[in-house]
Amino acid sequence: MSVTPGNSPLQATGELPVVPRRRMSPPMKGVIWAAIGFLLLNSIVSGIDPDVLHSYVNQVSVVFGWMGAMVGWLFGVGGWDALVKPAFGFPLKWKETVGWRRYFEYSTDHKVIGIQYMVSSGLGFLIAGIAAMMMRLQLMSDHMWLFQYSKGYLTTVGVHGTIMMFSVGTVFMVGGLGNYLIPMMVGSNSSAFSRLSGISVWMVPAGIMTVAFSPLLGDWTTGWRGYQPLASQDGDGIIFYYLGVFILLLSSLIVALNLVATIVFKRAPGLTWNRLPMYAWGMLAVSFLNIIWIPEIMMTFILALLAKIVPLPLFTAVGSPMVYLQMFWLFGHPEVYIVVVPALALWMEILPVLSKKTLFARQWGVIGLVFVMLLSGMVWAHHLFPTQGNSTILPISFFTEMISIPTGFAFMVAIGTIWKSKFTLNTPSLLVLMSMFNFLIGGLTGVFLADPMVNMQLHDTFFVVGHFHYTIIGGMVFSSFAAMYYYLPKFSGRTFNDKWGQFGAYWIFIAFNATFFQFFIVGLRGMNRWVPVYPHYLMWQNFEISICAFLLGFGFLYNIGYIIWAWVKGPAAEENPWKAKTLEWYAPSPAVGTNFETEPQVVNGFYDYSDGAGEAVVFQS
Amino acid sequence: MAASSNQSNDVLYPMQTPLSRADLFKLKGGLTLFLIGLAVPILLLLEMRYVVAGGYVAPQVTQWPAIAATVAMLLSGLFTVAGSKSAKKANRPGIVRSYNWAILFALIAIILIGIPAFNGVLDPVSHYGETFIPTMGTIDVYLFFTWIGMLATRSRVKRLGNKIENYWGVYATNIVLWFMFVCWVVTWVQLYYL
Amino acid sequence: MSDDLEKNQQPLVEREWSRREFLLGAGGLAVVGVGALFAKSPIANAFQSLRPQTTDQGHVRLYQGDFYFDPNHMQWRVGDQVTLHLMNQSPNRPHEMWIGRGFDTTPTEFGPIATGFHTDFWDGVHINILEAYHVSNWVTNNAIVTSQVSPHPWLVTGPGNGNFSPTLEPGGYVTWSFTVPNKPGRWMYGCFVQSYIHYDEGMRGTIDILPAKV
Repeated sequence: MSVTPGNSPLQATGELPVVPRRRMSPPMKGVIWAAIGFLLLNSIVSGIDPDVLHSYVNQVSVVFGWMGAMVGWLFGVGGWDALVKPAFGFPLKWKETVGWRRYFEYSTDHKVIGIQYMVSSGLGFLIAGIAAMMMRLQLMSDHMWLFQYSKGYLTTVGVHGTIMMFSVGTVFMVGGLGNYLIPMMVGSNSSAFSRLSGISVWMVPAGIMTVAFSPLLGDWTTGWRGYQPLASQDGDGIIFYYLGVFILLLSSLIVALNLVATIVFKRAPGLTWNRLPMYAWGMLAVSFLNIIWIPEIMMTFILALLAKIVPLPLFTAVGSPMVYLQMFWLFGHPEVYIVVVPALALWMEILPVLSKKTLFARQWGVIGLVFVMLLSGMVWAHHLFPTQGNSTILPISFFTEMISIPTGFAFMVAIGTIWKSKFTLNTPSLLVLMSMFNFLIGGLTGVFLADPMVNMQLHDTFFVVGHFHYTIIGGMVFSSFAAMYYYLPKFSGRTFNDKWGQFGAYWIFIAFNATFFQFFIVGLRGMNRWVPVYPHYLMWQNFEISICAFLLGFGFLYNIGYIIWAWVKGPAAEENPWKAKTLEWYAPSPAVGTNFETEPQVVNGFYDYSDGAGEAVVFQS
Repeated sequence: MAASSNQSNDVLYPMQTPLSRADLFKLKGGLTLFLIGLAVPILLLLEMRYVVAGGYVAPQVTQWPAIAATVAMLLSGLFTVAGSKSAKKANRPGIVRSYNWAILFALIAIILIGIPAFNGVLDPVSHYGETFIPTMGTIDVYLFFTWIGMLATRSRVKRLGNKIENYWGVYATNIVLWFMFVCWVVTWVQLYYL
Repeated sequence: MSDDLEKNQQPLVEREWSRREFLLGAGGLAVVGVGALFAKSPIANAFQSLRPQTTDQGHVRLYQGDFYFDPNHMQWRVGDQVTLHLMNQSPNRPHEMWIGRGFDTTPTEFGPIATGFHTDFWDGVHINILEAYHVSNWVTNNAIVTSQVSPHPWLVTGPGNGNFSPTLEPGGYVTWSFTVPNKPGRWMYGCFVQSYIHYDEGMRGTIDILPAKV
């Protein structure tokens, strides 16, 4: 890269001298530092490796090389100048920039970080979506045609699941919307640990790239679960799975610490727990789940990595693959609630505003979120019913069916709020209703699957895949689109044409149901998961499901494209187009710079639409 | 913190702003959450050991480095406490002096903990060995990052000099080191005796 | 993004970086990445076709992995003396090596599945075993085998055990020498462990046998 002399028209401010050279863009600097870090550590480890048969890039050296690359990337993208050197007391040469460039470098502004999280997550959604389309292409026929080997297909399934779960499901609504909205919602100008947060966001693209490029090392067949001991017999790509997921989870862990500290310690005066916005409650519940379960699974992945590269017989030692299975699903089931709880909270956030009616049974909504969080740690074994005895199946089955009760509270609150209200049916509220419909189907089929007898029949069929996608896409992805439309005026100061927004909503709703409702049917007819080839009698239904899936893929592309268009070129929006009362709408739109020039004081609940309800917030001069 | 007090374009160092009571409360709370998160993998490893190896302790496991490491960490912890005491009196040379010793003893502890895990006495493929090595390795990695934190704290106190407005960094380092000490003692007792 | 620059009272710009460099760099990396993921084999094939294939003579090394042969293409010449060194580098799976043409199949629900090659390349070939380490068994079929190794590996000499093939345990290796028989044309080699799954997963290659030099 050439360094050209700068002739920047913008004057540098402050006491620092003007540096008359253009610097390299931080992402490019990060890539180069990462390459140097990889070569350095990989060479050292390769060099001292006693095994002469090993190649230059081998299982052990690639792990250390990856660590070097990660440190190089995080340092290069801004961590070295903005975090490490100041931590050691060296002069700080970094300053926050403005314009589009600040989205491509280290920042401490929670709104910039939120958008960085959302865009990284959106990148993951596209990559994993392409993987899903490749899977559906393969499944259009009952024999191998797109992939040469079955391992290629299974690797694609793994890349799809891993990136979707760990960089979209866990990240978009928590790291993205959470980072953007939560400090504003609690009336603060910054998040609690803004420096840490500024660097954690750069772990997401690194993690996505690590998983996306894992096939370069070799195919892996374990899916997003990384099952040991199966994984230790796989190709070396599984190493990049463990490492990539590790760094993505580390990012989510930092987000969780930051959000809990922000909600607990940075609330504006008067913002009591009774007045805390619903989305903040959701983030609090999710973040506690994250703080408990993410370290657990990170350690499990380290052990699994050791089982692969040393190799230690950790997960074969007791003669049963159950050890890893238990350790994974202990995290794995809370994980799906980590994905879904923000969506439930978002319904309760959006619906009272668009219904112009006081939030119904608010405390039950909060209790629901908290109990979902508590119960989610007690249901993991339903993922492995065929391996369990009656003594464990029955209590787990009981808890699994119990968890639908606090989840039902969210429905109760949402429906009670809409009931007999002056409901505004626009794109965000429509998407919330669609999300509720889809999640209801996902939840009801979950009750079937929680029943041991049915589970034995349906285990590992497309019925389970359908159930899962109804909860995750139906719950989280639809709600995320609702949030994107709802908060678009806040993000950009621009709005969208409701007709085109609703068109997009109906498109994905119809295509989604056409695709995934058939998963239930094809699953009942005997279609197994994890197979690229299947008996001929299932071919025409699979062919037709694939067509619907492509329509769904284009529908998502349409919505993303339309949101980007509206963000950049849409008509100007009012300051508070939905007439919401929550604190984030008191900040300027688009939200740039300081959130609140004077400290807000909360004097009322945010969801009170009864006659004579006063303003929720006053600003002291 | 810095972002909120960033009105005049100056990005400040973590130790260059005075902390209000609320700020301190927030930092302590955040640190507590962080330490809870850090404790989870240790709990997982301790449980893993009983799952894989039961209560068995290999008789050939090397005892003396563990005892010596405990002593070294204790000494290191005492010196960071002395550092915190100096910080209360804003005695910066005192902090640096204490941290010199604390850093030395922490380094010794890191090396000592590494010895029984990697001196080749234990068979890494045995049930006990395969849980012993990752557990000790995890403690060592934790301690290594704590050590880098101690270096950073010392360097910051030395370089910022009289521009320091709060000593939270020093207190936090002390807390983290003592947390590591507790983790280590629990691990040590559990792996060697229980 | 449509962020309003004027909204910021005091722009905090210090130094700006080149947009062109950033876009070109990111775009270039994206192209390289997509190429590495999806165009691996076409690019490799293109490079391979540029390089003239040389005939393997003397000591030929062939490695087995999960599930591939390295190399997966060889070229021998009739009448050459070849010493084949076959090593199983898999950490946990046994592998074999057949050379032949056509398939013997067995019918299944998903259509016929190959159980092995129909024609055995090694029929009537003189084999001299020079090294054998961790050999599970060695089916000799119609090859004429002599062994320099003592004790020699377990040779399965009875008929009906499949074609000539050594089965190597993980980490095992064998070396044998032979004169390339007069069977010119394209032959396949592959591993049929786990009823065709290794072969189907990619554990196969081709050998071009060139006619003898006149």
